[in-house]
Amino acid sequence: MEYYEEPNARVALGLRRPEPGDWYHGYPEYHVERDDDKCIRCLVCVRQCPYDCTFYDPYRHGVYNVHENCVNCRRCEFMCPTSAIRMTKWGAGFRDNDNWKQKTIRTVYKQADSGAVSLTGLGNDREYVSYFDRMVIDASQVTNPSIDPLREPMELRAYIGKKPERHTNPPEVYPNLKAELPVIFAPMSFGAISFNFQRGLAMAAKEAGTYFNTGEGGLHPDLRQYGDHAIVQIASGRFGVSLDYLSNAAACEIKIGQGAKPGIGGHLPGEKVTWDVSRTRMIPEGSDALSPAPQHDIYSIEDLRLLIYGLKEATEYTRPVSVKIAAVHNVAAIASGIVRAGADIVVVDGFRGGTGAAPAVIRDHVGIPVEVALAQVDQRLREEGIRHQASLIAAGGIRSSADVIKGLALGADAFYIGTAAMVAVGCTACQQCHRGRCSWGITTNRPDLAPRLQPEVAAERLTNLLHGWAHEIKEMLGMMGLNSIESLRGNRLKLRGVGMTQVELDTLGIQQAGL
Amino acid sequence: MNHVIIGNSFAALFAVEAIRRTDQDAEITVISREPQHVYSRAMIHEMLAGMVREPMVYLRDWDFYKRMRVRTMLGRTVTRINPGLHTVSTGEDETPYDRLLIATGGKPFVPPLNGLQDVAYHSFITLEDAKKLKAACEGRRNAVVLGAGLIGLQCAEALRHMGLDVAVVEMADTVLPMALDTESSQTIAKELADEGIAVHTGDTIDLIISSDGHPTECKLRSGGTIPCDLLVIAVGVRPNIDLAKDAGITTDRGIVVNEHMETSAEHIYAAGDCAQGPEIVTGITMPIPVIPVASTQGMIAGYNMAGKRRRYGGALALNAMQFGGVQVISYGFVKDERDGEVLKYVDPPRKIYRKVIIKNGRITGAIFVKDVDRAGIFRHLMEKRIDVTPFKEHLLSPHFGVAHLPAEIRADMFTRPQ
Amino acid sequence: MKRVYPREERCINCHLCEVACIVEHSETKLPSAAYHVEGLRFNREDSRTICDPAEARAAGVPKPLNRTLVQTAGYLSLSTNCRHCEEPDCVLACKNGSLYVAEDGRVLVQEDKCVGCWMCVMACRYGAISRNPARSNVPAVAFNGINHHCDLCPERELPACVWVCPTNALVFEDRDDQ
Ligand SMILES: Cc1cc2nc3c(=O)[nH]c(=O)nc-3n(C[C@H](O)[C@H](O)[C@H](O)COP(=O)(O)OP(=O)(O)OC[C@H]3O[C@@H](n4cnc5c(N)ncnc54)[C@H](O)[C@@H]3O)c2cc1C
Ligand code: SF4
Ligand code: SF4
Ligand code: SF4
Repeated sequence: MEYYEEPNARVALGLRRPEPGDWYHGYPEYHVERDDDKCIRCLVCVRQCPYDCTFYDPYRHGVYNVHENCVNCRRCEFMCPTSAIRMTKWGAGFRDNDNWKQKTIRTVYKQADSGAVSLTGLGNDREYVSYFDRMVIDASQVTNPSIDPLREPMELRAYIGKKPERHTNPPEVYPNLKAELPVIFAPMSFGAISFNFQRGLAMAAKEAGTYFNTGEGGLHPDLRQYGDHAIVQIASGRFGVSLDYLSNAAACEIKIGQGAKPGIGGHLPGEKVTWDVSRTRMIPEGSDALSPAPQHDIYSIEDLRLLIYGLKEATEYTRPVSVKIAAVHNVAAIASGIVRAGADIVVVDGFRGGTGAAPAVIRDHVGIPVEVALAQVDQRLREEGIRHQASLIAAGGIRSSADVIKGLALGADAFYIGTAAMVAVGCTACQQCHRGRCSWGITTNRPDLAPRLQPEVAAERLTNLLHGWAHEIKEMLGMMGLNSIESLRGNRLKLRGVGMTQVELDTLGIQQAGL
Repeated sequence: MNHVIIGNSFAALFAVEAIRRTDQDAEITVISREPQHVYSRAMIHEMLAGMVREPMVYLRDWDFYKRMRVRTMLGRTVTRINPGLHTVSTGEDETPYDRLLIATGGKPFVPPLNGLQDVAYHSFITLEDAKKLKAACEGRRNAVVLGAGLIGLQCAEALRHMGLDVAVVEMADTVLPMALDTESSQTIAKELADEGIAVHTGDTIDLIISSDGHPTECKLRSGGTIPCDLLVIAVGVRPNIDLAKDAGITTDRGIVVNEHMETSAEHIYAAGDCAQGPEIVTGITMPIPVIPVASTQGMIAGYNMAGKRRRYGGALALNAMQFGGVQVISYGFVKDERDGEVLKYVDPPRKIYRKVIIKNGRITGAIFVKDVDRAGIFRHLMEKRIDVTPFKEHLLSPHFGVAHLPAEIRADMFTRPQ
Repeated sequence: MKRVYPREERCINCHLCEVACIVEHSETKLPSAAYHVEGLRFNREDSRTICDPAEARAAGVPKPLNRTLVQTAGYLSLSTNCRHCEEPDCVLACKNGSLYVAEDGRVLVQEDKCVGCWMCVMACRYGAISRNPARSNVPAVAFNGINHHCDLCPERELPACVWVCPTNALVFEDRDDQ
């Protein structure tokens, strides 16, 4: 199957005409600098570039770039055997203007060129306040001793699911996920990501004793063996859902919304629905995979309850059922409804969450930060006395172990990491996921690009990342004088705010630094 | 086990290596009419032209036979094989054998020509021939080569390289009539003409005019006369089957062998140019006088003689040659286009020409001119009788390679030791 | 014996194996020197590059000197080189005994003996032999170049192509027992 025509050197390197229909490409953003002395014309960069940016000119026997196509993914820089390539920003850009930045202008051009919705990938890249970065963590000094994690046991294990209300004999036992550290790989569907990446996630989840989430694309037959470590999603498209899919998994998750694009559905173009994707999603090969915006059988909390219990029935009450929503304005009330509808886990996905494809305007302007959503949901569930009925997973914008610690203190039981996992395996955050030709083989299934990421390489790097984080989490717990994440969860006294207004501090439920 | 091999060329050489690999203790005797160490006939024109140093024509080191512990009887002609007694006779002595390989190759065919009986002429088959011809070139100006087959043309090119005026006379309408098809032979003819070799096709020598036993002129059938003070007859080579025939072994055009290289006589094998073994495209037996076939048949014969049963699936006619700056590689039957689908790629300015003939999904002939890289893949397709229909349209693409083959075939080729 | 085996499902068509091979077999073993000073070049006849091979050839392209060749068809690519066959067809076809099987099993060419008759190119069913025009043992124009194929990098433990491959699409393994 051919997806696009081979680019032609004559067209690319020929005389350029100012193209009134393509002002977007009229102004390059990046400049690919090539040290011509070093360059050996091996054409590795030419072959590696999926964005038609790098060309070989047989007449001058040289390698050249069509800079306006460069997305700064840096694949060529990484692969060049002589380190001849360096990326720079293109010139001065437009006249300095904080209101009309280069990106803003180019987006207008792009839409004026095409008349279309401007699509993008990855997560919100705007300069919103990051509350994670305005919170600081406490440490023990004199009055309470800190703990050395190398000498004393540290408990990072998270039990995720419904907990009993009170002690009984025998105890009530509900199905729980048991993660060796409170970090789980976020839902990323096969189709949106490559098979190799999903396999790497599955392998790493197994290795590290945590979970990966299939996303809405079903579970590939070859990954069935990782079922014990899989959270399977049931989304509005219901792709790949079968009894086997549900009962082979560790947990089922109803996807209501996604932080990057709350309230809208998804669209995997037919050309990305290869034979493998089609059999995993259980849809015809080459047909568009359309996920409707809402789940059309869920228009109320009562409807949601039907589906939750449907799933519980199907899995004979042996698996927790999770509901994932985007963090939006009334998130606390919605989460409360979800818990009351019987969900064992609530996932709140903040507006920095990643996506395989979303309209830029929605990705960048809709939803709220996960920090505030988390604080509010935890608070509300506690107030209503139903916090024990469900675990809380925070997603969307977790970048480091510090974010994990802060999130724990704000009340989360566990975290989803998506973008961080992608970055761990090579993603340079170039935001081209929606174009389906990820140059790192992460968010593509094009047969020539996907093998750029090999599952065992991905698994090793992801396991390393989790190891590193686990280490740091232990250090930070010890420094606070705590020996388990249970003791930190919801312990907002361990946090202080820097540079926030009182309203912000109150919303997060924390105090001003210094107090 | 006592192995005797008649002949000391490609077939004999690879038989020796196979026997030694299989049986460290076997006694091996090589008897050859020619006195030289094992050498390549295909190098003699380069020797003649002085393009290569003499050591380069020998196929193995000087001490090869010593290392292989082979008794050599070089410069000795076998006159008779006695299958009943299990001996071969050189006239002077009898050599007993347990297993015998006949690898006597070919002998030049000399057609009856008016006046030939009166002149000194040359053949061009052995190193000796080349040396004699080289000596005879001294002071000569006008060489005539009869026969525009591979040997004739190689000889002509060498003579031209030495500075002689060379004319080639060929009965058929094209040069290399057996090996090439019309287009490719035209390319070669042009190449030869550019080198200054006069090619008379569709013609033959009617009369050789001589004085003192030396030729002076040749009268052509077409009427013209060409000057000639050096005459080379290179009309063809016939399988050398006399010994076998006299011993009562079944012969046809060559010595008939089965897929184990066994002749009709017990414990007697034949291989190389003298043998007529199974051909793979047609499935019938025929002599195929080319090096790879001679070597492979010799190797198979050697294994079978030493007791390791090996089958030979059949030979594929194949050849590689170059004239001027043009390389040609051909496989199978490149002229027989009947009932076949013919695919062609031509690029005249660059002299590139590729042709494939497909019958019932299988390739029966293929020829590559100039652009010969990776041509060997076609040999695989032909020898394995692979159905090429699924990837037919790629066959002649300049990018055609193993990546176009079906996955199973590729896996078979590249995932296990070969 | 250990041989190089391609794993095509992992190959990303980057051709680094070819680059590494050229550099390893250069005088200096330094890429810039190998390419710029020694004049070694690359394979432009690759289907993923923009240039039409005819154009490139018209521009007087030097022949590549890589001993491993990445072959492509559509999105499939794999790097192939000499199989170091047990009964090598090339050795059986070689016109003057330049090709031989070394004691360690490698199939090698005597570079000062090969006359460039291309019987080996004809014989090798893996298309593993290329023509190196940089050397010739026969002076005449008619006979150009010598046999050029993988020698399994005698100076290295791991052949250069295997070492460089970013996705382990080439492995150096003994599969004789399989
Ligand atoms: C000039 C020339 C150029 C060629 N070029 C090519 C080429 O480019 N490509 C190609 O594929 N093929 C070529 N060939 C053909 C190739 O040389 C033969 O296929 C190959 O040599 C056959 O090997 P063989 O072992 O069967 O026999 P031969 O090479 O014919 O050897 C026969 C051996 O038997 C010995 N012998 C014969 N009779 C007796 C006897 N009665 N007693 C003792 N010893 C005897 C001879 O001394 C000789 O050693 C060429 C041939 C010639 C003559
Ligand atoms: S990868 Fe590096 S050396 Fe190769 S062509 Fe590109 S810039 Fe030149
Ligand atoms: S280096 Fe590896 S991935 Fe790159 S072309 Fe060669 S075999 Fe393929
Ligand atoms: S060059 Fe070809 S025939 Fe010779 S050993 Fe290598 S793969 Fe085998």
